[in-house]
Amino acid sequence: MKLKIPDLSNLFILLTILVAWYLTATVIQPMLHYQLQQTAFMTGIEFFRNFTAYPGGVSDYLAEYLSQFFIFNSVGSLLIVAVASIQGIIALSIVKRLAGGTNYRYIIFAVILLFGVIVLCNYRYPYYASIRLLLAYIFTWGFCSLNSKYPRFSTSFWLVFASLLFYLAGGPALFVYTLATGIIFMITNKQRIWLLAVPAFMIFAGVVPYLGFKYFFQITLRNIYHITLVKPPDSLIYNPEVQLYAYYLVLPIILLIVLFFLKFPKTEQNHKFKKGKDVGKVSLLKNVRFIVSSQVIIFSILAGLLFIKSYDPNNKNLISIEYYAEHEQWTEIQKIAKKINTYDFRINFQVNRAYSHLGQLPERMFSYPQLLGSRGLFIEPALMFGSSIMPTSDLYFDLGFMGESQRWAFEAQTLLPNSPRILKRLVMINLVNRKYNLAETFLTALNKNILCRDWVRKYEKYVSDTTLAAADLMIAEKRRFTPKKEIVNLGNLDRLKLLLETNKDNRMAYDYLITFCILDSQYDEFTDYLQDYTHYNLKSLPKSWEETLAFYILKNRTRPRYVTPETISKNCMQQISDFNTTLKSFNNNLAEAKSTLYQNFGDTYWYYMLYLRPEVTNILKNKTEVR
Amino acid sequence: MINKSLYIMILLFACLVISCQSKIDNFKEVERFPQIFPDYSDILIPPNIAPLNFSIKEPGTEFEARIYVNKDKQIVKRSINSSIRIDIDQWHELLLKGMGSKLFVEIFVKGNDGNWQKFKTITNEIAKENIDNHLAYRLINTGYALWNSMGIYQRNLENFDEDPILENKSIEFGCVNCHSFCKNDPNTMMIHTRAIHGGTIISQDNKLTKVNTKNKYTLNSGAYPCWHPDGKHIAYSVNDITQHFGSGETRIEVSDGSSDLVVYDIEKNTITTSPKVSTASRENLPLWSPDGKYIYFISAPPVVNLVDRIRAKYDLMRIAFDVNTNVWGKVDTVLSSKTIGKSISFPKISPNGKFLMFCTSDDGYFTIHHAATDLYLLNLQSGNYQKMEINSPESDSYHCFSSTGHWFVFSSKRIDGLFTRPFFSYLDDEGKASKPFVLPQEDPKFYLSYLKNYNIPELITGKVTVSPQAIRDKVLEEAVLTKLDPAVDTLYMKEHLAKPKTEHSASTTH
Repeated sequence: MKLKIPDLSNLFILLTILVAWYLTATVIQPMLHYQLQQTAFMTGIEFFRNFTAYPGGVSDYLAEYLSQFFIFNSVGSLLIVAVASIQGIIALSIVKRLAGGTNYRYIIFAVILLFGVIVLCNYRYPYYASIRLLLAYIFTWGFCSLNSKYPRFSTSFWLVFASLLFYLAGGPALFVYTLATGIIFMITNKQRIWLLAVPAFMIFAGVVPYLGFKYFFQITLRNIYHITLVKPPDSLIYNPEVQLYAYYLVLPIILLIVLFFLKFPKTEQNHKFKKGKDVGKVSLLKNVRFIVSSQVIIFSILAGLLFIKSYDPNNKNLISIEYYAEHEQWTEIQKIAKKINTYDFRINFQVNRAYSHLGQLPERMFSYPQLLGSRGLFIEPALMFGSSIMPTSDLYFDLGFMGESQRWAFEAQTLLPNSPRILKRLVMINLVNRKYNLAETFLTALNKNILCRDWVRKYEKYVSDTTLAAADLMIAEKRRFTPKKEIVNLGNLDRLKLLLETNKDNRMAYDYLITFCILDSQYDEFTDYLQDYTHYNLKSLPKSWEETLAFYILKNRTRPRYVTPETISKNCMQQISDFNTTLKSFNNNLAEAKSTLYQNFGDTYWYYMLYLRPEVTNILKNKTEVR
Repeated sequence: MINKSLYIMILLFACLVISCQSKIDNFKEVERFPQIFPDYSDILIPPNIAPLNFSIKEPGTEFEARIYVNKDKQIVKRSINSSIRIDIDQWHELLLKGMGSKLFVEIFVKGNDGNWQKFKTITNEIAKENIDNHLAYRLINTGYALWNSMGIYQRNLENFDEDPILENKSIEFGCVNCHSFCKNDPNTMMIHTRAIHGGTIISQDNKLTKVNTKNKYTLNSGAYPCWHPDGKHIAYSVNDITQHFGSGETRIEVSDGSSDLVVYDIEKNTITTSPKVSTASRENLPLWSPDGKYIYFISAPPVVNLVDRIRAKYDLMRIAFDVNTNVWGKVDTVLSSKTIGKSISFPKISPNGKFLMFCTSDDGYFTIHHAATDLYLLNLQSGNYQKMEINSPESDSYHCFSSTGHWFVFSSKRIDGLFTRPFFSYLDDEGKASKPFVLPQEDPKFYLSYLKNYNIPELITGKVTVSPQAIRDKVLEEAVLTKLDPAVDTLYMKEHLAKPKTEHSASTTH
């Protein structure tokens, strides 16, 4: 059976949809969008009301609803591809209405689908931009249909649709609609009224947003005209890329091409091909398989190039690390950290946390370059570019410091008010603090998120029956560990000391304290606290601790009272001796010795002291460079 | 045959529905009051307040509330989800007719066994005096250092309408704060904007100006404001504010390294101050007396170290000031922290000049974060003061009198210990306050999941009519610089401001 163009195109369209779905699910991974943006759709009128106060808000509400399902890669991918496919189908429908059947169905559909998917390579991409554009497509299609049925009323339809679209989808969607419908008007209107109407449409699309800004909406001028909104938090601000502009312009461009071909029908072809002479060429250009295959090949090349330009694996890995940290999959963090070649303080922070949870911090801390010293243990969210806040709250929760965990959770909740992750953290903190009323408030708020209801059911019981909270091992441990003393203005080291003063059994606090002292070269504190290591059932000193102690003893020619010849292993003493020998072989020239020392001692405290600590690298002088 | 059966079934179902809605005749009386949220029992109700919708916190499958002044005219509301939402027209009609009378609320709950129970009747009272019909407040999240969307809003207290006065999303997410009104007048208002497009917006009869109240002879730009009764002057404190984060229950302390007072003359666009209110001590939170002749304020000793800075107690002071001549009088101590054993803050005088309501805490002046913060009442005629009976174990703080002086609103965290909600109470001529009740909401369970704080509740006599867009446009303009009153002793101020500020970063224990 011979395939017709539509059939073959449809087949390839279907295949492209499947491939797009698969790649979106497995490579882009919508769950990472969810992770970064902390999408939170809440049921109830209060939440909806927030979206009705500005143009485009209704689309944003719909986008919020859909993108909450990005938490599941396959469902999220399905939604992304479905929305882009609907746009593609609408475009095909419009083209068909204007020009009849076309040989270029595949490329029209595929290009729109491509842009609809490729914009998601940026994990800050606000999905509402796709939904706003979808509405522009729908309204354009609506106008196109009504225009062909009731041409006399087309300008009236246009005005009604434009006004409604502006409110539902915002200024840029109106602009797309205006361009697209203007071209449609030029194609369909034979009386040349379009010469007046199209400029009038353009003026309308330019002026209406301004009037909306001036008299109706509490919004900035920038946000009313731009595709994406500038709003806190800074860490999620999306800088529009060329892919987004292309996505918004693709429909008007397609229609412009249609206009061009309709206004200059076949004249070019007549010039180029003379009867009999170029029969071979003509038949090839009319060959179904050739036409569709060419489109597929061109599209595949375009898709590949765009993907290479848009996809940033390092950024994806970074968000993946945050995802695994939230889900406490510590070994996964280690695996991904190894894949990333560049230093990032957020990875440093989570790797340290992972080491600690796996009981490996004292042993392996220098396996990762501790370029920030003790600041790699505690992120200062306010001071470092690009840092997010919740990891700090999470770390303090791990350590059992509920006051600090809550402080940072509140800061995070201020920026992302409905984030399920943050609300869950606040519930847990208040269960630990026995603030059951407050835990209930956050649970009630969280219950408005349909994806969190199972979690809420579990912890609701803790509020109604507080013995369940007391019996929960994690909560019980945090209650033992959290400080009760009221002290203000504590630094990180003081907080760790307070945690140990509150409960000496807090092994994580102990590990962090010793690590902090090592990284900051605070030897008095280090030697003072190190003597307690036997309290944690340690028979010998872990690697980084004994390296530091060996260095301290050699440097000061004295050893703490509790240190015996057996405290530091012979292997460690041999290593430090080898380290010194190597260095001397380069006449103590640090620059020349660096490569050799790195090969043999790159994961030691001594190497850190000579080459990596912030006092040597001056990395903290310009904190915005710490990324 | 099938049709006949169907008709019978429909008929039976209709009967069932009607019987469900029928009057409850058989019920068992329960000898206790029902639990309702919010607690709208034993309260005095302003006759113009919005319906006090509530939810019944008793187990059951169906709920009914009968609300009446006398039994021949009742509002009856039945619900299957425990929320009682009262029809607004019926409610206002009832309150209007019942002014000065008792308002009864009967609660019926149908148990799982299908039997109805009737709880003891809740009795409230309808006041004869209206409350100012709007409330202005800022809605903010709980973060201390960061902010996202926030705004100043006005709520019509006679219904559930809430409108923005200014939302920061229209001004690039700068901080908006310290809204203040002159004698509860919505048309005489000021708002500060900070961080982005900073300045002070002053609105007088819909005419807007934006000023920068900082100049080189004052410590900072104006912070805590108070309008002079003439509507032409605003007293400000100028503060050097720092936050300190704590390890325990009190999550944050806010303190000043130094602070002074200034007065801004709106017409002349001048700032004035005096060595008497710009001392090494920390003068703060100015308040005009209703006759406009005195500025009340609080004052704490100079900072020596961090402990002093945070743990100092503030006294209540006052100084005479003539707005026509800019002449300052003598500073008097009105109430000493030593006498009361507490730190005093946020003084507010009733419009008739009889009472001064203030907050107390163990130390400092930024009371909202202290659970031990309570409201006190000082009788300015007798000099007697007392802790008010309306306080709760949680923070009870910032307050504002209505234009008539009997109703007042205050901020309280009593519902859950964290989120600040506005509560209303009636203060009689003897200084006795009625049991407070929270701002009513259309959804009675609103406060159980609402995660924003009501900040600085201010009662106003009507709606702020200047549009949010007009305020936004003014905020986006450059601020006009204020001039210094030529009478200010600039030599003194220069010296005063040049004094080294002590850095206090060490930790301190309670």
